Amino acid sequence: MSDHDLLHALYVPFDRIHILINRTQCATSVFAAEISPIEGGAPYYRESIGIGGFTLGVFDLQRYLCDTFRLATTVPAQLILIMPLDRLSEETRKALVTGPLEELDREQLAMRISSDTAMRSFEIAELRPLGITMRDHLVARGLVAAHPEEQSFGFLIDLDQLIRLSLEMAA
Amino acid sequence: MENETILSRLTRESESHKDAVAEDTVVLKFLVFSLGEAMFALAAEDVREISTNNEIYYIPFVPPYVRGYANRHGQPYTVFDLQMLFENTPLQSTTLLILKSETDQIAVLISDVREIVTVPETDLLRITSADDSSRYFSSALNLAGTEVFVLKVDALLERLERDLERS
Repeated sequence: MSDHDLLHALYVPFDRIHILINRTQCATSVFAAEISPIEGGAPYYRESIGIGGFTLGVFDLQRYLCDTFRLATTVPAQLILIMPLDRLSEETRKALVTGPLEELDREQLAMRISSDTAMRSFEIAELRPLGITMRDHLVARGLVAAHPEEQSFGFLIDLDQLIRLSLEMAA
Repeated sequence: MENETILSRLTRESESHKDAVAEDTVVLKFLVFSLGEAMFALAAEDVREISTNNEIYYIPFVPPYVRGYANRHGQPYTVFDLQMLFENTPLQSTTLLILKSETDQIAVLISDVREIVTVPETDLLRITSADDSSRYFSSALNLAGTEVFVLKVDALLERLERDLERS
């Protein structure tokens, strides 16, 4: 099977659903340590983490997903995904480092997520487009495609749209 | 002419009249279903499948009458809750009517299937009221004195489109 036919994704499992994050949106991951609160952040953007001498803003992706999809989880969000900010749109980048957040690193963003997150590869053919009536509306809010499995239902999400929407709603 | 011949001729003419009437009368089939205490109908040709014990997966950012997605044969079907739409009360059920729609993959949450009825088109009651709720119905059936409204599938999608545009 050609690599063009595969989605390499982070698979975040919850009780009845799962979330897929395209691997191209993240660079690496570390265990959550040295996390500190920051003043003046948004509801899901109130922490920072020190990594390699830099202070990165931490977007609490786990809590955002739980609130947005009405999920309950007891799994600690102890994994930190590192995303280069150049993989985000200009608007999202600005929103992440404006005002009281200017001291944060401008090259990378950290995201807190479940420790159960795993790397998996899927055939693109396993993904399904969202229904045409709601498609544009949901894509604009960061839901890209569906991934129905026998015992779980998945959504491929777009971190750029999702983070921007979260910060805009908080503004 | 002998009585026997007259009777035979009358019978023949009567049968041919019946055939002529049958050819002129369009008969339609409907699936009647319940939503709690209320009954509604759908044209049988609009229904692909009746499915029980479905998991429905919540979708964020959509109106509350969209209860989520159902996974039918590996395809996501948008599930409409008509009780939520009409009465603002969520329906507690896992039974779905999977609909045939050229526009989208949609399903309707129902309490139960009551019956399948065949009705001459001439017996359908046309809906002339222009109020808000009537836009969802194409006609009504009279079933033993009870008026059962026939749902217009496209009207659900039009309502959803309007609500998403506004949000």
